[in-house]
Amino acid sequence: MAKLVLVCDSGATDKLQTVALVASGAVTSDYEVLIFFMHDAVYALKKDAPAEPDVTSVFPEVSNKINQARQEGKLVHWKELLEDLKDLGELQIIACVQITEILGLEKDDLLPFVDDIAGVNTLAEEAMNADQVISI
Amino acid sequence: MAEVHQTLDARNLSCPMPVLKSKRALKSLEINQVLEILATDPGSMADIPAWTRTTGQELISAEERGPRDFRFLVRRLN
Repeated sequence: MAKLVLVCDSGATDKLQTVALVASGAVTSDYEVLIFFMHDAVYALKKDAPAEPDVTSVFPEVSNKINQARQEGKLVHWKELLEDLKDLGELQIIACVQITEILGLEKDDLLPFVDDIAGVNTLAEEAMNADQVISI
Repeated sequence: MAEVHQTLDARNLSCPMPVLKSKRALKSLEINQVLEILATDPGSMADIPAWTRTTGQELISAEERGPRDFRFLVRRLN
């Protein structure tokens, strides 16, 4: 099975949505996928993370239309999508230990679909063994 | 005409849900059984055939029956 590593280092709503979308394409195509969340993307994985800010595009029309679609339930939320994918294929989700330490987070503080907390050498090893690595 | 064993109504769902639900539905079928997929997402005409190619399933047919009215027949091969 081909393997894809995705790296996400932003907690911005649009980045998280993109990561989940790309993961969806890959998992449904039978890729084994590992997502490594870094920097403030880790904060978004907190069980009690506050409601996410609206999408902010440099084009106001894009922001308005995407946020409207979100409110109308036309876009599947990235958390729901990742949960769904966990159940459908090979998806592993890792949170970066540097940030969990800074934020004082344990694995139990993170959403249940987070498999592990690990450091950059885990990422390096996974990336070297992957067929593709995409940073979002 | 291939015999349809299950129909997935993915109409009014947008990307990536039609493929995601198709995959789940196909997993529930036996090998050689056929899934019918109904979709309205304009990306599905490209995405469902691509998904069958990457996963080694058989795309029996892909029809554009009208504007935003697509029907696919997919046979589970693995």
